[in-house]
Amino acid sequence: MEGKPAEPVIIAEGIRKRFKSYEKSHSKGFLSSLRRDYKSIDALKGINLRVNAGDMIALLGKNGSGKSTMIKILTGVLHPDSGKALVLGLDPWKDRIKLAMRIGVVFGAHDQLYWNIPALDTFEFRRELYGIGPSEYHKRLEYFVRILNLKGVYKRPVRELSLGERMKCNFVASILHLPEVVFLDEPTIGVDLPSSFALRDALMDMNRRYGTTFIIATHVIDDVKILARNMLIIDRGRIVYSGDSKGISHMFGDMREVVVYSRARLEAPRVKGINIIEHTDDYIKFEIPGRMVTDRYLSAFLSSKKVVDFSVSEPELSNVLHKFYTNKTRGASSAI
Amino acid sequence: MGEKYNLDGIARNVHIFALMQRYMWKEVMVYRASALFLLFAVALGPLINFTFITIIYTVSSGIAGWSYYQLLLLGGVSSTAVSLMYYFVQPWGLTNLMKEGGLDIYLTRPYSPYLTVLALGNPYSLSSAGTGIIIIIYSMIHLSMTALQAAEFIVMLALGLAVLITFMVIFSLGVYKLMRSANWTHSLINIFSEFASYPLTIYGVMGIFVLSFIIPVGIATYYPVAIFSGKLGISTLAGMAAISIAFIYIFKRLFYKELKNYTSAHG
Amino acid sequence: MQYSLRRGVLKYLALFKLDFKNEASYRLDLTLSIVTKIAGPLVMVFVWSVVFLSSHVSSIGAYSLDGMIAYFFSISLVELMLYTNLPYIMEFDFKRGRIAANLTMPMSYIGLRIVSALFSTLIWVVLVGLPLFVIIVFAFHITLTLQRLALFAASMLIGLLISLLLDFIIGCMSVFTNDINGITAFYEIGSGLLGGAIIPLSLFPQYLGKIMYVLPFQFMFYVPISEFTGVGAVGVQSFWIGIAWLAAFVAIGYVLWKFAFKRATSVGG
Repeated sequence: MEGKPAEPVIIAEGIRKRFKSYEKSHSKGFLSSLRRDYKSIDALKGINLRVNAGDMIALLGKNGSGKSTMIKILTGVLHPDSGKALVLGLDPWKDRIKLAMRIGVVFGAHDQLYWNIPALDTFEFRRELYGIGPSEYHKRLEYFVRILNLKGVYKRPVRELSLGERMKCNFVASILHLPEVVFLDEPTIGVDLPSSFALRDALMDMNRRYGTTFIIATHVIDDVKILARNMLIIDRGRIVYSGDSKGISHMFGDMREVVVYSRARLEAPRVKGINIIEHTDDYIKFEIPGRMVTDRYLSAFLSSKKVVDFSVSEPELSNVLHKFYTNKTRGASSAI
Repeated sequence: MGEKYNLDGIARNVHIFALMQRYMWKEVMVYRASALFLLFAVALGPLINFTFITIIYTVSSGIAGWSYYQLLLLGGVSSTAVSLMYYFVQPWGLTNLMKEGGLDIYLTRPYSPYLTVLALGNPYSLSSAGTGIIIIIYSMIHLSMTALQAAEFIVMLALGLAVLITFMVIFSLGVYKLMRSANWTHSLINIFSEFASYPLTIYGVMGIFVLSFIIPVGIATYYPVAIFSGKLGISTLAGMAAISIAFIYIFKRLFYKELKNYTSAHG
Repeated sequence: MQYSLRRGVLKYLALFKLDFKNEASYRLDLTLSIVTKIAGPLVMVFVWSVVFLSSHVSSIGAYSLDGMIAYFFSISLVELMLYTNLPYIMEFDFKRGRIAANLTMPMSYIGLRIVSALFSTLIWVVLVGLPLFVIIVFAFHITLTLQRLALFAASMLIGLLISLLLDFIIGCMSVFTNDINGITAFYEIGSGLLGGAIIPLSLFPQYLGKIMYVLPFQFMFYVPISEFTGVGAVGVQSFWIGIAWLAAFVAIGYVLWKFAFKRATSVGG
């Protein structure tokens, strides 16, 4: 983009949100269900966040970490207890209607579609709701039908569609007005692989074509790997990491994974910082610090006549995140 | 995109409401036979009160100061008002939707959340409202009226209905805030609408107060009929109209304040 | 044999405990439901008081003012034993395929569903019905002889079974319709009107009363209430009508169940 740097499209400062949760006693007695206790839960404990235009951000975190709560505050669904949030320069709570014209929200758990009639009816409802002109509407519909492979799908009653087809139609309904910022809350959960791929392709294409900013709360690692340039990890109501996947790997010593297939059992190489993951008679898998990739002991090991094949790669993001969640860091720093 | 629209304008809100109604009815009529049968069954509801009043006036002289047709009119107005209230807002449906986080998708749409709530009522109630209107017309044919009486009746009924609907919205939010479940509200609302199907004067001062100002169902039922029948004068009309406008304003403000307590599927 | 009986009892006791916890899970919900069931007849107290006063009479039909009010409070009492959720539960079972899971349980499906419905009713009878029964007896000075109590119990049992069978029949019909909301609405309004839930059947014009006395709905409200309050009591021949209707509904239910089960299990959820 030329000219002066654009203002961030999302600014959040000190966002806090507390919920009161009603707990029922689960003892065996008949009357146990009549007793009730209350518990306060701090879903968000001071979130600070900036997202620039055109970003594709993955929001990660365990169940109950605060991801959905944060999205709901940024979209005007929930009111924060304290703090400030601005999306496209608008307060999501006070300027909800104005903001709704410029953002799209896709909830995995609840869809926009009328159940007994074709998705096309929902699209036409949304067209009138957002004031999209007829020719522009047909152009966009054609685009989304093509990119999401919805031919023959969007004219059938929604109740007859598979989950994947419904999610794709829901996606179209939610972004038909080509919003500037799109929030997605677990959009591919339970969805078949072809539909997931189609949704990801659509997101990337929209980002390229229209510069749409995407915030995606997800558990699906492939969504993170393929879509997101940056990720935010929320844990117990706070952002504990903000950066790209390389950055998070660095937190764990920037490891590399080495897989070696051999004719006979091999002894592990004497490389500083090695961590054996698996070791059988014809296979060994280990981790080494990234800087040790050019180590001569490793080179000698991999050049052995017993070695049939080998690969050196960055560790699976899922493994890195698993370590993060279980707090197995080596020299990790908490960010932001 | 959309900037040409006055997003808060009445015309736009009416247009969006009509749009939502169109698609709601389209969905209802997908299973035409089932829908029509249910509409017919629901339409029979007001006949219960009609039957009761007819039998009372057959076996006795009824309620002093109220003729058969006046009481039928009151019953008809009560059925119509409560049915229309359910058409716009259904407390247990709304509370359950809020409890499950189903309101989320509506709150991200470019129209007022108040409009959202008003579009989530029970479409089938329209048929019982229709029966109520038929009973109203039938009663009025047998009662003498002037154009002024008719106008006063319509004004008070419209204001009363607005009060009832706005009250029921805030009542639903209150139930959501305190209890998260509204399964018992159906019976409670039916009891109060049953009370409002008869002249409030039979319940004494306390009853009149409760049914006019605490659960204001009487504003939509008793007062329009009593004003029409000449039992209450123009000063009462003016007073109740002012109170109605105040109620509508207060309830609507309370709605936006209480919406902050919405927790989606959490809590 | 003893083992099977013990296991059978434990099985249904577990079911009752689950149903009770389910009904009681929303504490305030339950309390307010109880309050609304008791508060319902209050409007009739006011209405009939004014009607009697305005008409300057001591009785309307066979009913004094006390008798009329007792009748409407008794409606709340008998209504506790009617109109279960059975049709909707069966509809869900058939349409969402839950019947598959139920058929793998060590209880017959009909046994499971009907017993569960009866348990839900029993919970309401215990929590609300018994206290209400006592209040009505003492407040309205109802003299309950052994014979009257037996006739009340018998007519209430017929009414309960008729209601349960009709619920079951409507539940079976859910396999053949898109939804049963229209049928249940029609049934509830019709049975209330024709059963005496709106006004005692004896106050209807004679030509209408003759029709209502041969219909099954009178056993849901009018007959049990008449036996309970001792006002407008019906003859023994009415009980034969009730039993005949019971037999008819059992036969209809059996035939419908055969068709419904076949259809539900052949196409799945």
